[in-house]
Amino acid sequence: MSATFALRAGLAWNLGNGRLTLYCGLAIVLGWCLLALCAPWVAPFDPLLQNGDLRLAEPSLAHPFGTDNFGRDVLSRVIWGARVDLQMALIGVIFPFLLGTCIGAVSGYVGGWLDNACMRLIDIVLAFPFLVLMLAIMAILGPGLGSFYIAMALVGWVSYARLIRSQILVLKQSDFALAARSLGFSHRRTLFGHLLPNALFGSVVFCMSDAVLVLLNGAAVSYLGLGVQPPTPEWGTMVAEGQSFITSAWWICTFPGLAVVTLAMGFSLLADGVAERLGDRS
Amino acid sequence: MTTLLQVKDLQVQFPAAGSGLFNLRQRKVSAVNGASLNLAAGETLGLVGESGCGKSTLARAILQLTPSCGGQVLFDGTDMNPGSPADIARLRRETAMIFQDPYSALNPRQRIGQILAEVLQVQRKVPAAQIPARVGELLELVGLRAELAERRPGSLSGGQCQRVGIARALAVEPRLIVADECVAALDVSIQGQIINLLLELRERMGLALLFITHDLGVVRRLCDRVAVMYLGQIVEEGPVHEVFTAPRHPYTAALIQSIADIDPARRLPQDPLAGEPPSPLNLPSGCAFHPRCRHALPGCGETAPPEHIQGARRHACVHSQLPC
Amino acid sequence: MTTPLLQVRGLSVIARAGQRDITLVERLTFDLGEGEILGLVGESGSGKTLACRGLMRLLPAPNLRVEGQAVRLAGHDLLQLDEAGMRRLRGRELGMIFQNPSSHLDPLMRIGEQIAEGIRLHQGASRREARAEAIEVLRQVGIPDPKSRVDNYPHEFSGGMRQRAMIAVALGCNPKVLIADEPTTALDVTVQAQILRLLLELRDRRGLSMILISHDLGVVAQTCDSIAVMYAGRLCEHGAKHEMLARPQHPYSAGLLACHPAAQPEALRMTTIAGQPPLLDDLPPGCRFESRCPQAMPLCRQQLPELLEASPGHRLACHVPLLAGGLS
Repeated sequence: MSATFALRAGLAWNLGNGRLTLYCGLAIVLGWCLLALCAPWVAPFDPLLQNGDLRLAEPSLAHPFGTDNFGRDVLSRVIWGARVDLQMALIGVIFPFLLGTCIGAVSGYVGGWLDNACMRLIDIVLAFPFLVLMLAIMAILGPGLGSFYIAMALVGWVSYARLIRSQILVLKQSDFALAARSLGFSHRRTLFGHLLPNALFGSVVFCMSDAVLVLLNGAAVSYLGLGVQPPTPEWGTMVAEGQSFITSAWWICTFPGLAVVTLAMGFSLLADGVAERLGDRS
Repeated sequence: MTTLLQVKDLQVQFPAAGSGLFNLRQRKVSAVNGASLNLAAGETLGLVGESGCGKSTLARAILQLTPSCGGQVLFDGTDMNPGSPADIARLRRETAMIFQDPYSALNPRQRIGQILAEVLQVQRKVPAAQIPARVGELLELVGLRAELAERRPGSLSGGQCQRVGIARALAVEPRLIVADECVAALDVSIQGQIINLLLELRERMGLALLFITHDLGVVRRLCDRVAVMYLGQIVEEGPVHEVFTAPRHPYTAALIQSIADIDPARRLPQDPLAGEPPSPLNLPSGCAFHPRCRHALPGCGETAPPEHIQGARRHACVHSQLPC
Repeated sequence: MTTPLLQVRGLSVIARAGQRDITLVERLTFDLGEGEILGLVGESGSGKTLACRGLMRLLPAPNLRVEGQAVRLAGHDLLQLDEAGMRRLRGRELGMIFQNPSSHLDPLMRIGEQIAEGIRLHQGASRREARAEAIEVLRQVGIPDPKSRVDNYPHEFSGGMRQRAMIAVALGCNPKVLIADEPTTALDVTVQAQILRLLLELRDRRGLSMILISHDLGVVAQTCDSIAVMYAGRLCEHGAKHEMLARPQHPYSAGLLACHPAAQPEALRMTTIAGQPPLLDDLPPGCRFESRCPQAMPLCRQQLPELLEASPGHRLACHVPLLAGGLS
């Protein structure tokens, strides 16, 4: 016991660093959320307002991020675009999380043929390249954010299902699961009340890093023209539009690109920070 | 004393890794191989044996937490193996289990009070309004302060967690408690506290206790009767004092001799029991103990040993008394 | 009086937590004679395992360090040696075996290889010589048919055999002192009896000195020559086995003895020691056992008792030692 005591004392030193990661990540993500919420008051211009005289203007005091080929202020478009991208990152994670967790938990707990069937279904979904499957679904459903979310749910649930399933398989064997059954608790209560809360740790961490991937996916899908439709500002579409001007007006795609990178990093740091905090407590 | 629990010839098998080409030939491991025991109301039976003998599996099969493939489990006269859902529900309301590792037996994310309240709620032992009061009573019964209800298992000591496990078992108001190595993970000074608690509860509530352990010293203090298990079978059963002073089965004798006594005058055997229990995958033919038995006869490897019943004692051996 | 083989003076293991230092083992001092088996007894948190790992300078975490006056073995002061010097000593003079043989044997390496590796390293033997030596050592630890079993992997051995194999790995280099950390705790009682017998035989045949760490007084009573009891990182009492078992003078030693299931068999209730061991970062200024001690006096709360020689060969750290007869 004194050995574990010593190890815990050592961890206390590391915890300081873990908190730093968590706070940095939180600061970045919350910062963007705040910007997105306050867009109507913070953005200096209307993001859709075209100004023919000021097309492809360089960054200046009036337009800190310059203007694009339609004369729209890039800064305002980046700020308004945060709304769309944050929404994509968050909703694009929630649906797969919920669907995957339910399927994985039940599959792992029940076992037998149901588990086998789910595993084979997961294998089938995984056999297709992620983006190909998404684009196929979105092509059927038509472009737009709604179909993006549906496609994400239908394709993205597999990772969560596998994560939860493996945790449930382990927890199923634990003493407190057996205790719950010996006390007459129903299977539903045991699974959802006892096993699932203890199994969620890995998934919650994965959520945060998944947000990064969803963000990038959304940008990619919009870049390909299937996601958000113009003229709605969205970082991916802005990068796509600015591509042809990269040598002459570099600011059009650089700033949205930087926005994607910073938000992605924010989620990543958040994921690491949460992992360390939850990991220490478990 | 009325018989509360009667186990007759229980068999539990698990599938094992297959053998042969591509592991296609299914093999089965016999964890419990025809075990029988009796437990009267208010009595404490110690179930001893070494690792791999199947004592934990037997306990779980008795409580219908592990499926069995043969034999009877008569709880208060009703056969629970297999039992109808109503019978099993009744079993759940009248029996409870305590586990070896005090921490992993409790949900680490629940507070102590919640753990106990949930049992009371699911089993509808008391009306909802009285649950907090009952939780306080249970904590007091096991010697814990009421404030501990707000803590999580991680912040309690091993002894305290084990008391919570006992409180949870008591919340069911059981007639039978199965304690699976419940003091093995505790320090020796704390073990005594838990054992005293069990003794006290037994007296106050007339509980029947099936105490599974590998520690013969504890059995001698706590139990009325003892059953010795080897490779899935009960090889000897009887009152504790008699079995310890005059064991009849060679394995029981070897176990008793191997106890490391704190009295240095009682030395370890010069020539302790050789070998180790074989794997349940390859059960010896005839008597399971014969490969290690000092008193084995040529026929021991062929036929199963006969059972001798003398009053309250029984044992399964070709010898009716232990040869000197 | 022959000089003891191992002399430990003031060994401390200290953990660094944030800005503070927490002393996990405090100024351990004892001698180990040649061919002597010392039983180091204590409950969880007593620091017995950490003390021995500190002795070998094999501490499990980077924030732990060893301090002390001296640890003398075979003409070296272990505290003064650098890592290279310690490495030459480990295995050759000082061996260690652990509680769970399955996790302390390399699962991917044959048993013979694991034994021979140490022999080759410390004795510079050739492969063939080392292999022959490994077979001999396996025979000495009682593994049947060592010539064929020397090429087995650990998973092909049963629990007791793995423990024997681990003892063989430690013995291969012929150490003078063997530290056995709860070697039989994870074993069945019949196998425990075999392993304890083996350790006694090895002491008789090879003159091996041992430090046997255990929480089980029964194990210690059957094998050891002297017993040292630790509590909350400090040594409470150290004396010859018969003295310690018949007339323990420290209330904790007496309490521990009384708690053993075999003690006082006719009593209706088991004896216990009330309370729990203290947290090591929150130690009282006085005696650490004071809050649980039935004999505590006001002095005990204020002043830490020092380890003093109560009678020849019997040391005690207590202000209120028991007189002959144990706890009243």
